Amino acid sequence: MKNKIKIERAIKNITQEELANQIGVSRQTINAMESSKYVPSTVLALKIAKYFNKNVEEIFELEKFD
Amino acid sequence: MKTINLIPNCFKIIGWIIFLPTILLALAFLLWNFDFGIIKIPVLYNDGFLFNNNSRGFFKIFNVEWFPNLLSILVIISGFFVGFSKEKIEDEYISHLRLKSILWSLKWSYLIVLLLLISIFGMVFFKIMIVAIYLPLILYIFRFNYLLIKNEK
Repeated sequence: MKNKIKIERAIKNITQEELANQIGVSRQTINAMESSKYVPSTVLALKIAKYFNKNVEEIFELEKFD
Repeated sequence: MKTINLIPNCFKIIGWIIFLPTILLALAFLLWNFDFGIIKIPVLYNDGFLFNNNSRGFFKIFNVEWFPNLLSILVIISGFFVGFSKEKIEDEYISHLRLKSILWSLKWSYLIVLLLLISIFGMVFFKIMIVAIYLPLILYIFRFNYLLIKNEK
């Protein structure tokens, strides 16, 4: 699964740490998601989308092999 | 978000303080076998040893080598503190790493035991089997913390 967390974060101009604090997860989690090492749960995906004021599909996207 | 049941984070530091020296002492003990003497303690059940089985049965007084026994107890308790206490922020990804590490350590522990079963015989086998008892917990702790540190970067 691809995601645009890094891009959205750049637009909002916040660090991984700040985003992590806002959503209530660790910085490692944000880092792992941005580097596509971890696919978040639906709850977390929804939280992230809500924080950026977007639909989940605008941030998370399926890849061919998914 | 719901995560797995763990003890509070404050146990982690206490755990590490006891865990690391105990592991080193235990390794030293296995290599050099220091003798710190024996104490008599009441035990729930005693089955005796090969040449010394005169006091077999429940609720017996048994001569216990206190040093290795104490080390074993400390390894388990401190290992429990380190391995099963929450991280500062225990979220779903940390739980994911935790479970992955447990699977990894269980797999390697039994592969190691399997390898030893078919390759090592005699008294040294029993000595190594003592280590094997603690292997899943110890490997899990090191693997999990390795993954955490690797993900810091």
